[in-house]
Amino acid sequence: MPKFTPKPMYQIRAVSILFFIVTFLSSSSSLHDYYVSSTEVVYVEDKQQLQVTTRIFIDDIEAYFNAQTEDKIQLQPDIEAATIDSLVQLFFENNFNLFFDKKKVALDYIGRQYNDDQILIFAEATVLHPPSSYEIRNTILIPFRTGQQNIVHLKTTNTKKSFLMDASKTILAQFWAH
Amino acid sequence: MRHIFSFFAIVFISSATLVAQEEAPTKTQAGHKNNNNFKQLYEEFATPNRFRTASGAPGVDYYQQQVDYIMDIELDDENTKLYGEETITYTNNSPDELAYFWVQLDQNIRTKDAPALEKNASGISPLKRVESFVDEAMDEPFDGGFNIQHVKDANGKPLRYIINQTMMRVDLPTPLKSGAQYVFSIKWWYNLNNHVTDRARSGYEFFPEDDNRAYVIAQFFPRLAVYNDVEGWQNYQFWGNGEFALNFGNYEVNITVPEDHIMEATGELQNPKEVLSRTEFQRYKKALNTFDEPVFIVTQEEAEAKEATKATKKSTWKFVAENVRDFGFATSRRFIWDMMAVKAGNQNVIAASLYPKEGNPLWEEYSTKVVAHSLEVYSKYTFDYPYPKAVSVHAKNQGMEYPMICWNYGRPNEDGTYSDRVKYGMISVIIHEVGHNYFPMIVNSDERQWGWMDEGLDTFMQYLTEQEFETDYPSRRGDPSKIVRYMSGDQDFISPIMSNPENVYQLGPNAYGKPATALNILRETIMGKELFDYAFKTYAQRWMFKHPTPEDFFRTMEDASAVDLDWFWRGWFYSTDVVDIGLKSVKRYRISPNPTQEVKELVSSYGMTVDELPPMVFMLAEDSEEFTEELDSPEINSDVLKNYLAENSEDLAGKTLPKFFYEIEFEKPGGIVMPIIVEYAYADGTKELVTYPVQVWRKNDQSVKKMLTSDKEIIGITIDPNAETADVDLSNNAWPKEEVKTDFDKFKETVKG
Repeated sequence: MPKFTPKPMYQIRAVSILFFIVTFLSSSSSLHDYYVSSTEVVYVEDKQQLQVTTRIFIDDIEAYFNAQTEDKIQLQPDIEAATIDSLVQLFFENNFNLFFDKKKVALDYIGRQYNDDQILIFAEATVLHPPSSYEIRNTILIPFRTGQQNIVHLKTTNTKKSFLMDASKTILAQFWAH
Repeated sequence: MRHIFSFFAIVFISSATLVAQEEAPTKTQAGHKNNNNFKQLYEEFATPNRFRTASGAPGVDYYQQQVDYIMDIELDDENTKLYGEETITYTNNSPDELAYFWVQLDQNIRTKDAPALEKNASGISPLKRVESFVDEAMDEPFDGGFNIQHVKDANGKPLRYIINQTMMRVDLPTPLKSGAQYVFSIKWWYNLNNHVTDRARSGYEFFPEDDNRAYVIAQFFPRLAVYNDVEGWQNYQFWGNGEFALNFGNYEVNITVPEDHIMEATGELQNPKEVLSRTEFQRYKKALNTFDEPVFIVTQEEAEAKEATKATKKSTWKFVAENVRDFGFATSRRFIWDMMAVKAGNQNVIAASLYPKEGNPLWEEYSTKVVAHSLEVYSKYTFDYPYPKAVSVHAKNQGMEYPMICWNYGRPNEDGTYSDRVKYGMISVIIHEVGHNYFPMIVNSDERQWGWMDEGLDTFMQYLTEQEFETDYPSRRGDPSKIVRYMSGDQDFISPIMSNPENVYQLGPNAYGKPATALNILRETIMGKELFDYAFKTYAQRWMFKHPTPEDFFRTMEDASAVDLDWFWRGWFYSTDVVDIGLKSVKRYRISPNPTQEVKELVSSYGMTVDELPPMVFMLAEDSEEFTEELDSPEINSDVLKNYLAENSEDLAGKTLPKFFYEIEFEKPGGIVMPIIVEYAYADGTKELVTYPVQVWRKNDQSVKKMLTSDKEIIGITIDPNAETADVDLSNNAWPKEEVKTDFDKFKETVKG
């Protein structure tokens, strides 16, 4: 039976310790043994559309939600689809932002999907012209897990660039690739 | 389909020579080394010798050291310390004299000043959870690492030693001669760590609600480093990722713990009657002969009953293990214990599980059965499981392997519910860690240098075992399509498989996923199951209870199959290249009654005219400017050809001229050479799968043309139609071109409904 009980102090502390420890002693196993998310940003010029797909391990985002709230959160199967939807949307909007020519891109969250042990988060925006510069702000799980790495792939018609972002690099400014 | 090279051969070959002469370079061209993808791996491979043969088998002078341990271990549950004393018998089977021993002190990765703590770059995050911030800024590092109390010879005389990080050199009074034995002893203790909070391979999980711990203990004793013909003394320190290189030997281990603990370990329990209650002992004996269902030796109810109290008396569990490379044990008063017997080849093996109640109901239902299943499938592909038992222990958040025993994750929610992800995650990790008994516990590769040799081979076998566990088992790794995302990633963050585990960017895909997928592709697509399975089994049996190197594996796979695979190892294991084969162009040709402009120019470049030629057939591409509608017919438009066919009708009896002539050009943007697997779809609805051997790329690394003749019109061409090659770009795989849908596109469609 699911039941709600406040966590005793020592449990909260145990949880917080768990998530800051450096992962240098990761086990040999089939557990995904590094913390990483990846986000693909694709600009489809003829559709004037920016397509964003973020992939995060379900374990990681589930643990994050559970550290944020006293309620027991479970994904795949979801405890309640609507609750997870709003949590995921809020999480995405708070942690992944794009700025084109210094203006925030209005990314429209369109939904999520599970694929194996990953959650895919989809968002899009209408972008009429490619910008001359852009900025990526990516804090996915950064405050939560030391060692978290976030890879960003940027694809346009002719180019493909990748960036590795982490705690020391959560903001990345670049000129648009031509 | 018929090849019609001969039609063109004479003219084209001579014209090519001519063109080359005309465009002779004015400057001397630079040369180059042999960069051919099919170049044999002589430079990468060590020269075969009497220790290791060119066939990939152990040579006549192959040797390995033998190290036997007799240990007394005591667990201080209250203060979370472990005390130990060991007597080591070292047999020098090498042809060399040894002046010193190197002993591995892996616990020293947890000393306060361990360099491993600082091995990674670190930065300051602009934001951080307050608890993490305070802990990180103010917490003291854990006071771990071995405290060596003494190192003595067989007569109790102290031996000189020096500790260098995770290794200790023990100096021998006189060099140990080839063939000689040396006996010495070490005494030590160390503080046990919480393996959950520091994500370690060994330590305890703490259960605050009843103030108890579940211990999973490994790397707990000073272990001899490997000395062999390829490394000398293994001198690569333990930094955390590259695991272990260990000697085979016999173990006698006595472990003293609180009397109410239940324990499993590497080796056979020698004194069950002493350490078990009467009832437990009866059940234990029953389990040894029960083949259908696991027998509970300690039930959940009985384990729960022990939570509230702590025994003050102690008992000593005695284990003996023969021919193992390591030793691990798990102990707790909270453990539930079930066990059954399995037939593995000709012998009976014990499959057992040890888990705290937190693992149920998942663990009582699956663990032991998955152990049994894993032994059966792995034995089928390698060798009969040679050890007397295999145990799966539930440890939170980790999967880790030791001989005969392993730790596995997979924990239901507090209310006992669990998702499929948790269930299959648990089954997969048990298969994987039990499978490690074969690689590297028995086929004893050097994990410190080569993570993929055990992880990759084991993950490959895990995939086969999962697929045999149930139809459509959701395997995370193994299927070619699942490695595409990694392989097509930014080259700056990818390392070749042939890299040390410490130096790769993403150990999971590098040492587990990619080699497992490569082997799967080798088995299903390149070699075929029959040749692959025989060669793989040959490797496993040749190196069972020995120490193989990567070359021993590569060589054996070729040696036992007669399939040259140097190109495969080069592309998949030695480089970060990717597979990308596509269609560059598809041209349909017709027979032309008259010489085409191209032919006229070609002929005139010889200083000849068309009339001077012997009887010739002229081909014209449909996209040529000279092409006319009259030509667009399967009728034979060439009088020369008609006459020839008529004149030779007797010889050609039973043969017909194909109606369609195609020239298909394949391109290879990817660096890896692979066979070209093509599906031709014909107008009559039939399909044909054709594989061009990988060797078509040996003189054409960029693109290659193929002539195809048919009585049926081709209406579609698909490269790698069954997604068996991990092709990273599918946008060039089809003719006519098909739009490749991304996950985003597909999702968008479902949203729109």
